[in-house]
Amino acid sequence: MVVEAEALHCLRVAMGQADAQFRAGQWAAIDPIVNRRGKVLCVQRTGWGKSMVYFVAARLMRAQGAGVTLIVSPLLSLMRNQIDAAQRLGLRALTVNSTNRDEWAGVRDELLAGSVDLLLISPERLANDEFVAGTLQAVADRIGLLVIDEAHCISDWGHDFRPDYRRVGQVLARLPANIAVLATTATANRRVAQDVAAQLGTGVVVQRGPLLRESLALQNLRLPGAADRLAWLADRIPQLPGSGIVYTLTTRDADRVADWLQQQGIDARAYHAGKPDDERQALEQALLGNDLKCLVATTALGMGYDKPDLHFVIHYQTPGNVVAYYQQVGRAGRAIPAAVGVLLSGDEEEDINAYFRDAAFPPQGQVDRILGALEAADDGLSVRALERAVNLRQSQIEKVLKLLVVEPDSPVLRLDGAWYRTAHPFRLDQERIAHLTRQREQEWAQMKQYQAGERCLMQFLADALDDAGTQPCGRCAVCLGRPVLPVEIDRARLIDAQRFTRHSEMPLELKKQWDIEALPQYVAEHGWSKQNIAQRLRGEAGRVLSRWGEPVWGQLVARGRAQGRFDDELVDAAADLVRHRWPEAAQASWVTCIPSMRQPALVPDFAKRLADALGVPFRPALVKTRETQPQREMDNRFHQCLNLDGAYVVDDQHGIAGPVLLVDDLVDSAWTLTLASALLRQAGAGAVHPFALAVVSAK
Amino acid sequence: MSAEGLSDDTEAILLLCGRFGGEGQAPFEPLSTPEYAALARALNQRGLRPADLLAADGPAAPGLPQEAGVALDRIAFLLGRGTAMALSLERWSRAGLWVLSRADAAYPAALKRRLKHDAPPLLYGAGRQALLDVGGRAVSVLAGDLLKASVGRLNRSGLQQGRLALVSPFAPEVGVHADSTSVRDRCIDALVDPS
Repeated sequence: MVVEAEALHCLRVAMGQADAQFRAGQWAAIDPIVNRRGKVLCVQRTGWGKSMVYFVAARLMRAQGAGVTLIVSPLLSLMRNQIDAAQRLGLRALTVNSTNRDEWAGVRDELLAGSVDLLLISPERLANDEFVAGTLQAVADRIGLLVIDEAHCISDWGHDFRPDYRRVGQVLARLPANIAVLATTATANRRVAQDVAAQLGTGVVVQRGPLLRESLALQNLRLPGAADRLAWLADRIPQLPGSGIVYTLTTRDADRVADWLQQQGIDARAYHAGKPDDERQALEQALLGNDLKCLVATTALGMGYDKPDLHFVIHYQTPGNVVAYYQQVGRAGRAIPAAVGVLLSGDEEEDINAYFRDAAFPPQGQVDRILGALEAADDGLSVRALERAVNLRQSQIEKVLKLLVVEPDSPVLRLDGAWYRTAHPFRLDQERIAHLTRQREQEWAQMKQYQAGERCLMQFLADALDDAGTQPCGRCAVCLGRPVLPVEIDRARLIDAQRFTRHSEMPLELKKQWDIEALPQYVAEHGWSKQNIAQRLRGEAGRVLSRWGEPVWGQLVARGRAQGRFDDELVDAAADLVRHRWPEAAQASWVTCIPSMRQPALVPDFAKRLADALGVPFRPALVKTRETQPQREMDNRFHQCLNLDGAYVVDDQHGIAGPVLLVDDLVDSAWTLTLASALLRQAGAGAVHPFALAVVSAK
Repeated sequence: MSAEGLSDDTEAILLLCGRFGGEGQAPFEPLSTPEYAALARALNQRGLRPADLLAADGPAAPGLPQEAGVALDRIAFLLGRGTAMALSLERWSRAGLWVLSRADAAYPAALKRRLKHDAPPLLYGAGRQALLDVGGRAVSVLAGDLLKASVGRLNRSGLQQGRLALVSPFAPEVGVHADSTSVRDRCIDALVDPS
């Protein structure tokens, strides 16, 4: 039996402070774990010291001869202060995640040799059958304590339910009574906490502390236009002390806002899942050290990131629910006397949040097609083979499989690198999906209520989290009866911001590999071979002017398509882009475009006007030989190539030498532009610079 | 497995005798059938059950394993494999596989009767458990690769429609090996003709 005094000694060693004391509840969490191998759910705000609980528990259990502690956490690595604490306790911690695959065998060997005390893995690893069988099972027989961070993700009722965590919950439910579990979260209302506790088993100790921060001053501000919000950010951020975070809903917006702020002389960097892990870690460190003013981040900057002196959290767009909002804004003001949380609201968030709700679950039809293909197969199918059998994008196939594989009676199973259909009959649980979708809609309605600001903002959040008995905070814009930060926008800055939203162009990358087996006609005609597209057949790095429907240009593109003619403003914008911001394309000696049988005049007319504006000839060098299906209905590489095989030929009667600007109105996956570039290059054209008015894929 | 999970006894037996994938690197092997039989006898003589080995305040009879000829540290290690077991159980369960131990009512009486102490402590399977007592063509006894067989096209409809049960005394992901066929054959004799 370990007594409190022993545990306190450990705490003092871990924190490096001879007079440290337990926070209320820390010993109450450590005791059942260490002395009874019990199961504990800790609902405490960030900074309370949840990691101290599991470090001290791990140390004490090690002293009892127990095995390794497994920490399941979305963090890429332990935070610096956590590593220090572990070191002081003489605990060796290693991480296994997707960034250090080459180290896995070494980590496993060290675990087997008994020289590792803490193993940190991401939930994706635990949900990966190959990882579990190949690496984790070799050491799982020695794990005495499981720590699950961000445990609210296990719950269907939570704001952030994740399929990988569902698997975690199902593993936890099967642990015998002699394996200790510590589940922690900083954002769970009563119902979520109950649900997680129920999944952990019976006799779970649930512990809860106040979740809100007294030092935080909240404010809502509605600015429908993107330019207004950009201008407001550039006005306000330099005036705020310290460093902070600006949250966006999409990676594209994170990049754009960061770009804008940098142009305005603010040291802001984008952070999202598209960045490589080592860059993400460097950015996290930079913010911790106040080496930059702010990170412009998506939800990828999440959970577990703890900066005690975060001075501001500003949301560029409103997220889908109040708890998620709290989880992000609640990071501010932990160890400083005052911090600011501002929620901006704009036009586009309604559609973005609706898209997230709709995209959460796949349609029954997609599930049926995938299951049908697996059932018909003689053996297992790889995702690649599934792509051939089913006209769905690879990412969509993987998304469906990921959701199906964590169903308790899973209709699919991964075995020896391939997917199989199990004997479980399967029906998509439409009721559950409907329930979850309704829940998301209710959450969005609640978020709009919060935006309306009819009562103390902090109290509103406290109620949503079941934080009992809070009084009006006296600091928020509602309590004060006036804004916390000024709402005015500088006129000149607004004009700059409007110009910025007009310079919305993005890089356009063509494909580097095609599915050569899906291009038999072109192979026969031109002798193309190999999966990699030969260098001489490739187009250059291109540009796309806007995102479909986005202000300002994307909206004009949508209108132009509907009306059958693109506005002159778009011609001017494209010419402006080429002349001033795209030097390579400015060298083009002629312009051509992708022809269409359905709308024969639309794009050539635009391309001709653009050619005139640039002072070079327009030549319709590409001819369409047959009707094709709309490319956007072709969802994967095989089907897209097949759809285009032999569909275009080059007509060089007016000459095709010299570098060329290749124009299309819409681009999605860029297959058409890739093939057209290859054809033009085959026929002897110079460098091909692809250009499209708008991109349609979501991000 | 029932929705409620394994019985406590089956859980203990699975910890002692089961294979979850990491055995190649483990300091101790799971118990063999004769080793488990000896331990079960010793438990029985004391009026104890396998679940009592996992009792909250220490095993009910500390000296018992040595009496049965099994090293104490080996038992302690095997009983501590809960995480490995939970990971495997979760995967098997998702695939529709169940686990029965000799302590379960559904364990085929014919196996116990015919094989006695050699009856495997654990049976893994797929499909309707009731078919195990029916025997005949409804039961297919496997020498290994149970998981693979359960997702195989030929077995799928039989399993889904309740006409077929697959069963094996070997863990679902273990392949067929040298000794497995003879054990399998003896199980077949007992199960296919349960009289």
